[in-house]
Amino acid sequence: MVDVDVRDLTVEYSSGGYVVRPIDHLDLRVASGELALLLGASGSGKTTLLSALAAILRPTAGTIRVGDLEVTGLRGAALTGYRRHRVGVVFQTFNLVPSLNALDNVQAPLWAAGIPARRARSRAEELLERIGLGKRLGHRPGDLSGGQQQRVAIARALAHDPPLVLADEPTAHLDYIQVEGVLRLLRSLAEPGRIVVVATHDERLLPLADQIAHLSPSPSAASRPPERLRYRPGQVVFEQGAGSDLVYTVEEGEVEIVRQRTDGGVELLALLGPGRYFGELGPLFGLRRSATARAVGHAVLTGYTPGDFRELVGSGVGLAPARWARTPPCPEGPDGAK
Amino acid sequence: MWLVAAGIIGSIVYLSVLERLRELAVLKAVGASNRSLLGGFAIQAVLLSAAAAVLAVGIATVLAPVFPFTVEIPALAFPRLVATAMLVGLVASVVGLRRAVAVQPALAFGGP
Repeated sequence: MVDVDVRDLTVEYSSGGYVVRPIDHLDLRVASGELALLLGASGSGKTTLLSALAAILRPTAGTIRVGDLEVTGLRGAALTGYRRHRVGVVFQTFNLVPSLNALDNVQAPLWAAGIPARRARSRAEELLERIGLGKRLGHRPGDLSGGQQQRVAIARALAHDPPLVLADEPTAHLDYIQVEGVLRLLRSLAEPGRIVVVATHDERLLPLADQIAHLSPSPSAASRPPERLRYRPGQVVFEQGAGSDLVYTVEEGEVEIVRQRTDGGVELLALLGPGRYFGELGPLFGLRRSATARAVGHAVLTGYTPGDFRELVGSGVGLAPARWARTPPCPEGPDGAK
Repeated sequence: MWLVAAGIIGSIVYLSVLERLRELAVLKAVGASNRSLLGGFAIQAVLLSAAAAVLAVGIATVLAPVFPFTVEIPALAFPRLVATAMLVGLVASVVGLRRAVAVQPALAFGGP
């Protein structure tokens, strides 16, 4: 019986010198035989979660258990053994080895697992035949179309018949006839003893799933009235990497917007006084907060849901957006934080 | 001259290993162990270095008589060249590979 049990998972990594936390205290449980769909916009952590499940990215905190194995605690030979026998991954960018032809790419995990050459070859041929690439065995990835490369990547993920199959946007490069074939294949793989986890933003896949996990920060309630909020000096309004719910305007006092750097330092992006608003992009577009906001002295803010905020700006109230202290390294517009 | 030759072989082998970082990460992700990657790539580097040295010996032997001035190559220089090339190829590939396999595969793919 193989179950996937993700508890309190947090993953942080460095991107452009800043700390990014695409996964923040995530819990997920998938039972044997289930097909789980990870839904979310770009940047919501789908690929990060799959990477952590595939044990190719070490989480910052939390645990992942697959069956009786605690994946997050694996090191050395045990880690290699997990990647070799327990998990197969269809990468979003295929990640085929360019110097190997289709057949050898599919055989690669079998060679790693020490399967005899003849058995490895016949297994790879059978899989490539099954996905309609029987006549492309000798072609290198560079000579294959995007859809064909994707199918080779699917065959490679299934080569060693792993109990956990992870697929990142498996329908992204396929036409509708190929999509149908892949959907049928993924559904048929989710049988007792095996788990299939698919990351996608393709909502056509919804009926396929036994379980759906939404990774985008949940949108705020539309009916919530504007809140007047008081902050003590140094108190955090929202933290970098957290989910977004409200847009804030400064009524009294000052708020600083800072971004946490990978080297442990913080960078001041803006200092905002009364009449300024900040944090609008996050809730409007379902993004995580790109910086931390905290009160400098005693501060009074009003928090609006995105809908109320739109009405407020549309009513012609004299509000100004935050201005960066210096040109930001990321193209995120003129706001202080998302 | 020896140092220059060794430096060129070493840097080319080292850089070619780092260029294949993504390929190494893919192989790690599908279950190849660090040891097998180190072994496989080091053998490739040693064989390539040796082949290049043997080719250089052949070209030197052919070109020496047609040079406008006398070229004397000590008999020991040829085996020494091949041995040095293999050793430098081995050391450079192992140093490069140790750095390459220490990277988490998902980060080598350009960030998750």
